[in-house]
Amino acid sequence: MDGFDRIPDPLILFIFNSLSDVKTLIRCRAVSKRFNSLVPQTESLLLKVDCVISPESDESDTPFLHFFKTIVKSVHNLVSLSAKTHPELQNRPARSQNSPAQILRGFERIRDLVIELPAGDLKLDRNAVVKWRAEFGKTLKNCVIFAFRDIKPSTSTHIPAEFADLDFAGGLKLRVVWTISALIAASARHYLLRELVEEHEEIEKLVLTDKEGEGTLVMNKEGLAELRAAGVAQVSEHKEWAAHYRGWDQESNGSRTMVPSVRMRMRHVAKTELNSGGWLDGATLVVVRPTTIMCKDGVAEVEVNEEGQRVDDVEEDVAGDVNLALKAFEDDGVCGEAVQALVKTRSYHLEMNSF
Amino acid sequence: MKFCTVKQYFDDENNNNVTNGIATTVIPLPNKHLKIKANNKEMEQYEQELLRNVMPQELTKLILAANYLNFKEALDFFCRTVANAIQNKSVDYVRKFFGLESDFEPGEEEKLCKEFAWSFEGVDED
Repeated sequence: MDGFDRIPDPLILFIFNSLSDVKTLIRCRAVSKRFNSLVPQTESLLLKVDCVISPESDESDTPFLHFFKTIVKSVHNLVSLSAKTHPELQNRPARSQNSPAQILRGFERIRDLVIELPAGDLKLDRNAVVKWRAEFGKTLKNCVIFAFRDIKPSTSTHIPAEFADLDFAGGLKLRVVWTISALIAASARHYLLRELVEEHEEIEKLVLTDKEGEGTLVMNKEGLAELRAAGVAQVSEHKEWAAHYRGWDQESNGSRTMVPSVRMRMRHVAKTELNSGGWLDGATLVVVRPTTIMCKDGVAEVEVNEEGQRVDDVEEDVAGDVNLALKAFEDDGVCGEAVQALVKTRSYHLEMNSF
Repeated sequence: MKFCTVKQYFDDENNNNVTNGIATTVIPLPNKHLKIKANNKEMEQYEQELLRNVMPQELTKLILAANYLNFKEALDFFCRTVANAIQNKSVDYVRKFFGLESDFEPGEEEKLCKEFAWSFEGVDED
């Protein structure tokens, strides 16, 4: 038997690592005994979660009001946003639903794992777009959120009347809603990963993203170690993953990791012109960081100086935030461009309790 | 730098690893690579051409040659090409591509298919 049999195992593994696609790799196990034993050693994996939705799932039109009242008591008169359905998800027949932990059980040496959900989680108003990039350990480490209400072609430079009417308070409510939605979505996704992280101690980098590019959650080696050390519960998350496949609903009582107390630096511009000629309506950039710092032994601490006052090294903070924001969206054409413009504007400091 | 092994190759008198035909394909690669580096589309076209002209057998030899010559970029390129070729394809297609035959016992393969039923859904047509 000649052909690829002459290729040594490490090279076959190299091919498997280039391939990365979990579905194809698992299928390759049925090719021959040699492949069956080599596939589980692949280190670099990409798991594209199939879009599965059962025909009787209900995407009702309930506003966010109920949900937010229980979570954020300080924000009054919330903007009610109608639920946007994902039409493309609803037409597929129900298929087998497996949690990633189950699917990946066969792999023993995962170092680099990327999981891609079929769609984003947020249901937003009309043309609004919200994108977030978050880093997690045991809890949130940082999150960059970029959002805008609409993207318009540059037929005119005239700012439409409705926009001029939007008073600061109204605008602020919307921005806070965006921010909280993104944080909740990120926390819910983080919650899903616990079982996987516990089972695969060898993982060094984990990225959970979605096909629409709405939200990307990253856990690096340190963060993963933190989560494992926390020794979180081993509850099977099959149905939680299933909820994400079907079209995750913020209003369902889905579990999520707690969002710690955070401070946020928010920047927004009414109109952001783009190189392509169009412009963004209400572009907003928020950088979120926890206010409490967790020490290695798990004790929460707030940075203090010698006099015992809280350290708020504003300048360094701002620079760090700017770098984080730029890095988060450097690959994204329109957003990257807008973020570069936004970091030059003035920022507002907000704080929020944990929820 | 990339070709320390090449010198060794020419020094070796009895060398079965790299036939002349293969050497002529692999060695011009760095130049081509440098030219194509800037333009990804060209690279894709070259990849397609390579796949069409080169039977899996040849590809095997190319990969082995690149490995022997320690030519990382070529190895990368060939392996990626193989990976793209078998992406989402069926088990039979992969077998034909690699020129392999199933060495499983009668019931084993069915067992695997059953265990990983999920991965056999939505496969590309051969």
